[in-house]
Amino acid sequence: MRHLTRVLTVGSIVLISMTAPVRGQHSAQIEPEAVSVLTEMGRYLRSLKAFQVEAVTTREDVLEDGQKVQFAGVTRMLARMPDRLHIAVDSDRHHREFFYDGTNFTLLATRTNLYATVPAPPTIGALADTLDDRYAVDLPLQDLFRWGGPQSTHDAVTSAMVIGPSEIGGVTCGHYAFRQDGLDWQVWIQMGDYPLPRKVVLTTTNDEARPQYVATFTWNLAPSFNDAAFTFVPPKGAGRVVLSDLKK
Amino acid sequence: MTTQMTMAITRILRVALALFLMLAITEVSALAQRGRANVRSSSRSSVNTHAASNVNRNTNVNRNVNVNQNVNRNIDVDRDIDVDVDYDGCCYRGGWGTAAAVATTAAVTAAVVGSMVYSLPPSCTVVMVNGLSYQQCGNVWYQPQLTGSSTTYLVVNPPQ
Repeated sequence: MRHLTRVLTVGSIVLISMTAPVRGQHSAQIEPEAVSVLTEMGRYLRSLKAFQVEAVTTREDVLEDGQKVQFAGVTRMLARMPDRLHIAVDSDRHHREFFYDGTNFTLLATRTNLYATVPAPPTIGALADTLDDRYAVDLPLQDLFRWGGPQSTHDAVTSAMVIGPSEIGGVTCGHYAFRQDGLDWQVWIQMGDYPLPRKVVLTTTNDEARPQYVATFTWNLAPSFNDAAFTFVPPKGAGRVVLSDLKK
Repeated sequence: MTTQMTMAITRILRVALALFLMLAITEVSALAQRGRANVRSSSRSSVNTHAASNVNRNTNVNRNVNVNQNVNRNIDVDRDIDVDVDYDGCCYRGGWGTAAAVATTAAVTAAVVGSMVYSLPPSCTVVMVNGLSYQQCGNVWYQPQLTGSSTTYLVVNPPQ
C-alpha cells in the first residue's frame, strides 16, 4: 500500500511537471519561419540603393485618465543610401519636412514657417540615433533603416508567430506577429521577389490603454530624383530657430 | 408703446444680455479648462528603438513648468492659426472643435526665464537676433524650439 502511494505521488509529480510547460509555451514561442522571413525582409531593405515610400499612418495618445485619442497622417519619404533623405509628414496636427544632405539636418515646420538646422553624422542610421538621443525628434519610419542592419533589435523578440497569408494593397503578404518587452508588433511582408513591409501595427504594452500605431506602405523602388530633393532652401519669410536640445 | 414700457423692456434686455454674457464666459473658460488634457503616453512608432532613447518620450510633460499659467489665456481663433498651429505635444488647447474666442480676465503671470510654454501670449512680434527668430511679447522673450511634432517656446533673457 505504501509502495502504491509512493508510485502515485511520483507519477502525479511527473505528469504535472510535464503539462505545466505546455501552457506557458505559446507565449514564449519563436516560430523559425517568422524569424527567417523577417530576416529576409531586413536583408532586402538593406540591399536597396534608393527608394520612395508613402506611409498612411494612425497613432494614439493616451490621456491621463486612460482615454485614447487617435491621429492620422501621411508620411512621404525619399531615401538614397547611405546619406540622403527627405521626408514630408502631413498629419492632422502638424506638417513637417525633414532634410538630410549628408552634412546637415534641417527640420521645417511648414505652417509656422520655422526651421532649425543642425550638423548631422554621415549616415541615415547615425542620424536617427542622434535625433533620438540628443533632440526630441523621432525620425519617421526609422525601422526601414534599422531592420536587417546592426541597429536592428531582433534579439529583443520573445515571441514570433506566423499568422497566415493576408492581402494588403492588392498584394499577398505573410502576416507575422511578434512580442518584445513593452511592445507587441505585427508586420505584413510581401510574398515573392520583393519582401517589403506593406503594413505594420505596433501595440505599446507598457501602458494599460495599449495605444496603437498603424502604418500601411506603398513603395516605389525606382524613384527619379536629383540632389536638389535633399537640399533645404528656406521658404520665403521662414524664421530660423533651434531644435529642442535634450542635452541643454 | 409708452416711454415707461420701452424703458422697462430695455432694462430687461440689458439684464438678460449681462446674464447671457456671464454664462458665455463661464462656459468658455470651463471648456478651456477641460480642453487642457495631459497626455500620459503615446503609441510607439518604431520597433528597433535606439537603446539610449527614451522610448515613451514624454519630455514635454516634465518640462511643463509653467504651462498652467497659460490656462486662461484664451488666444482667439485666428491668432491660433497664425501663430501656433502645432497643437501637438502634451496638451490639447481649447477643446476639439470649439472656438474659445472670448478672453477671460485672468491675470497673466510673469514668465520665468528657463520655463517652457506651448502657446504665446497675445501681442508678440517676431524679432531676428544673430540670425535666429525670437518672439518678443511685451518685455518677455521667447525662443521657439522645434520638436518632431510640436513647437514649444522657451522663455529666455533678451538676446544680445
